[in-house]
Amino acid sequence: MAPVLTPPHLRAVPRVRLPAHTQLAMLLRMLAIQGSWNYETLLGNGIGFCMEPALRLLPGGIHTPRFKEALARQSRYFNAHPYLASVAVGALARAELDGESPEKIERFRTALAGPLGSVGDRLIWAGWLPLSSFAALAVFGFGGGVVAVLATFLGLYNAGHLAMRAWGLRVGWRHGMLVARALANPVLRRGPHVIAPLAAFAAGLGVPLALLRIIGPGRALLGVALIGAALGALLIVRLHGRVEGWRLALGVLAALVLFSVAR
Amino acid sequence: MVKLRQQNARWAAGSRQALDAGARGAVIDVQLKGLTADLARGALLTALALLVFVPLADASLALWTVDARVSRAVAAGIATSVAAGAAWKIFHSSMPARWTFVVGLVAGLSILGAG
Repeated sequence: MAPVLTPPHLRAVPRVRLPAHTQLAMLLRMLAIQGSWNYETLLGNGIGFCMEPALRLLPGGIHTPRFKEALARQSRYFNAHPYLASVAVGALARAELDGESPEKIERFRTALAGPLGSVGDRLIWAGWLPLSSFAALAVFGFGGGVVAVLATFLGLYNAGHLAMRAWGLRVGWRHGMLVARALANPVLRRGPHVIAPLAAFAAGLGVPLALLRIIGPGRALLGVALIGAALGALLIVRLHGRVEGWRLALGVLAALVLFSVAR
Repeated sequence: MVKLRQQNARWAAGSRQALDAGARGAVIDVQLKGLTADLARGALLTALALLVFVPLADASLALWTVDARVSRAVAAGIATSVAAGAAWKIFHSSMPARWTFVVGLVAGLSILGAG
């Protein structure tokens, strides 16, 4: 009886083992994935740069046409969230080393970009980053020193993105062309719905406490600052799209400086 | 940052043939050029900001007339406005986030009241 051949994209075990030093090299390169970000190929060159250590494992090494074709393919236009791009790096490296056809890899590569962008944006830019910032603000409000505030922000934020990059690389490599199932992970699906309320709570808690610590004792002035901040925020929201908040803030601060100095 | 990204595109375009041929050196070269330029950009901007704003801040503080607590209140209030405006953009679509913000605010104000 003829043996039943499993198509490469359905193979559970990778054809090649990824040595620990190669995984580490890819992970370290992931930290610099945006190094050549530009308006034409976006993250493309970074993807090729991160995947290069794995592609060296192709039969014959770096001087073969197969290596060069794979590297050229992976260095073309690609757009995704820089942290979740690790999923693409792992999955595409597996596809290349498993010997998938170039056409299939191209289609897979195109299909991966969209979901990795939108999930990452919601989870990190609209979730983890504000949570880390507001948690640090709350620590400041509770009397934390410089070291405690910085450690809170840097510790939380870096722990989040490093864990995400390491996880992405691992699941990408493990699932290869079937990595879409990893994107159904509860952390990715439900994460933003949990993180956003936590960040909002930390913001609500931290703002009055931080304002008191900056301004100093005296409830009247604190009340005025809080009401002023609420009105300012309302104005910024109402002006959405016409003027950016930070420009407006710089303008008002410059006016305060001029008033105080010239009076 | 925009200029740096445009420069990155120029470097990539300059190496287009080598990149299309899958030259390992070209991929690494473009990446390292971008990283180095970003490092230089950060250092230059920081140095310029320090050079301009430290003397300006010292000179302004020497002539400052507004009460220190009021000055801090205005600066912190403005920063809070910007932060709250940005937070609103992120959280306004999530009903639970709106409520947890209110709960946090009440908790923060209660701590102030009790303090």
